[in-house]
Amino acid sequence: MSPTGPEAEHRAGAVFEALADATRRAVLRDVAERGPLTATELARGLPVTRQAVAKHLAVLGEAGLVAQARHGRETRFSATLAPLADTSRWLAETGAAWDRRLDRLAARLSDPSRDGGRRTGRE
Amino acid sequence: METVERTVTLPTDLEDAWALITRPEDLASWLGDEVQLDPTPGAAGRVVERDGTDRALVVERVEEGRRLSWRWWPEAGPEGAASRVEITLTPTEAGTVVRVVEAPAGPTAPVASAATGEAWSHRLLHLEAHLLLAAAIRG
Repeated sequence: MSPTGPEAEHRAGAVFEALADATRRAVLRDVAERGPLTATELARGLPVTRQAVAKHLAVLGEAGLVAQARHGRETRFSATLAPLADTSRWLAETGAAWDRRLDRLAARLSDPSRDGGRRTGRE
Repeated sequence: METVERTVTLPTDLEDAWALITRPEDLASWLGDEVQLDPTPGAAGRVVERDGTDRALVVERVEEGRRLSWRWWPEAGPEGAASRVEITLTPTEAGTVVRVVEAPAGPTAPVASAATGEAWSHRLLHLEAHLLLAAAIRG
């Protein structure tokens, strides 16, 4: 996924919009915990109509947060959280790698074998 | 929309900081175990790390003494695993501030210019959404 550009901005906007509604967050949480399940099954566990649940699922689907699959005459919904998990992992690993590199970079300044420039402050 | 940013202030002047991020003998001490990086736009290079990760790179922007960026990807990884690294140097009274930003970049992604306010607010929106979702899932 490209991190910049109009397509990425649209995706981010869709995710933000999807999560801005408390009931929709509850739908997503239920799908994540109890899925895959149908809109009817979801509505049973929530204080909203099946119609309202279907609307929320549509918005969540738009944002890429739920996926649907047909099982015979039923459509079942499940949460697609893998992209977010991948993101977290990449952020953690890349951040840790840069922490290590910059520690070594700072240490390089104190390396007696280095031929360097003017220093400022104390060493 | 994921971006990693790290900053360190080096107690040395700008010229020395630039040397640290561009001279071969200095790069080999911190960026990786083996580093081939020629600070020239378009130059191909390589970074092999202690853990064996082997990345090919292409230098993108070079502003002498100020900014260096490159695109790199693991040799043995999937095509889409490229990312862009940008290092910016800023002189201050305490020394030189070194700011590193790394973000994923697909094969056809354009070179990112310095983040505009709009692009940054969208990155924050995405991060906020991510945190909201993580909290929502935890319940």
